[in-house]
Amino acid sequence: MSSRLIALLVIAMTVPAIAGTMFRLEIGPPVAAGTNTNLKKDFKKKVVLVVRPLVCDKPGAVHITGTAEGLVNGVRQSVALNLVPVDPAAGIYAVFQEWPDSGQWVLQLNGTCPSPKAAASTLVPMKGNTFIREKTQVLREPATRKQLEAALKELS
Amino acid sequence: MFTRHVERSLPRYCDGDLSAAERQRVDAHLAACARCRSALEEVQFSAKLLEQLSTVSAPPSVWNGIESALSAPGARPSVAYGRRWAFAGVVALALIGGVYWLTRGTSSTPWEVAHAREASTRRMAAGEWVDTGGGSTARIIVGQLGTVDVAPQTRVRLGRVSPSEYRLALARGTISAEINAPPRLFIVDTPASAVVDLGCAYTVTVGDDGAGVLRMTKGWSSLEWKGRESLVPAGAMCRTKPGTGPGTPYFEDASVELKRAVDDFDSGKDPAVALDVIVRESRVRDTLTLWHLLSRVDAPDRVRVYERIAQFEPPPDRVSREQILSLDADALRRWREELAWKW
Repeated sequence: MSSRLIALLVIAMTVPAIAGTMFRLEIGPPVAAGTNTNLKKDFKKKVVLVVRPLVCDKPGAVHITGTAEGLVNGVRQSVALNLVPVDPAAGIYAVFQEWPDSGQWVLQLNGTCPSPKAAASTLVPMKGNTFIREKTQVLREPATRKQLEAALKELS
Repeated sequence: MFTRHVERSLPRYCDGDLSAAERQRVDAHLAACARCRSALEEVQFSAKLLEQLSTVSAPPSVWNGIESALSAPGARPSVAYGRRWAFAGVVALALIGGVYWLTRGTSSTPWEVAHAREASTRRMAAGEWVDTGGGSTARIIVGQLGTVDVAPQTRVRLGRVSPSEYRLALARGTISAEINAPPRLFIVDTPASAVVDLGCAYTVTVGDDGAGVLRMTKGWSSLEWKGRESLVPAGAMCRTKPGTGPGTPYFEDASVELKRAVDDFDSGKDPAVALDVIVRESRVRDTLTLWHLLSRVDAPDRVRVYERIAQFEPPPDRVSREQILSLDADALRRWREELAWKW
């Protein structure tokens, strides 16, 4: 087997692996969902951000879930988020406020891409119902418990 | 004392159509009569709103149709002509009926207003004014959509209410709106532009000269005037001036230099130098400002603005440089939607 063929095989095997590590979830303000989006009244209610996958062959097949992780009067709380699809083909979902106004909160958004197979998290610290972009962590792997608690601690 | 108020003379007073003697009489009366001063303010405010309306030309086909009908030989009323009028009458009646059907549930006092100095709220009609004094505030309940807080020294006219529109007009002062509604349902007219709600919370201030400032705290709105539009997302602000409409929006956390340069550019104060500063000072988030400038600068400067934005985020697939530089509306929209992920 020639060295050129070996090099090609190595590239063919590494490219998907590298692409897999590039997969991530990007967040943006509601305006990123587009001005022509036909948004329902309920959805408009307290939408705080929109989220989408990047570097995934089939963005529409990406599974995104989320929780709001909070600390209210020293008590740790976790609220499951119901993400609302905005543009399912592009994998764009809206997150609206389902957690209490009081306390400190960090949103943990998790996504899995089927091809190339990868998983990633984005940790979004909140100030009221506004996300703090400069403290947002876009991770290229699932967030660890330690990373989440550190993000929450930084808010308090 | 004031047996002869001057309200009827005010439109001609504003247009400068009064004789010197009449004008002198009106001036003297206004100096002493609060009621007529208030009426004058309303006339001036209405005139500014009317200036916002754009002139629409009838398409050539309409004129051609009229001309050919007038020049047609023997064109005179016939049986068919009479039937057409009868048909038009039926259509008009149906339209009137439709409008009545749509608005039959609308109360004659659709607005609910709570003044800080009063314990209870009261119902008010479209066309009435909410006028807060020096130390007073008020809250306007916008149906099920949200609330508008009225700051001291503010004049707001309650506008029409329909299933498709809730409208206020801010003559001067400050209001803070928190609205949860589908886009374009709630609109605030100001002397310089209309603030069109796209699902948001904001504060808008109008000065005595009619100039205004919109500050977004949540969601986003657009400022609109004669086809000119500025999109303002949360964290951003935008100025607006009578006669020129909405300025260029910018984020409030932008550098002082950039913000000053945008104000200079909008007021026409050495725009070339201002544009240099904006391009140099802009961060990825300031693509909000740069994107708006694409359609507000000359072609050579447009290339500079394009290249600066593209350094941060190239146009998406199927959007070309040429499309952007030729201000293709769909291409501009698609690029803006991509850039907005960074705002």
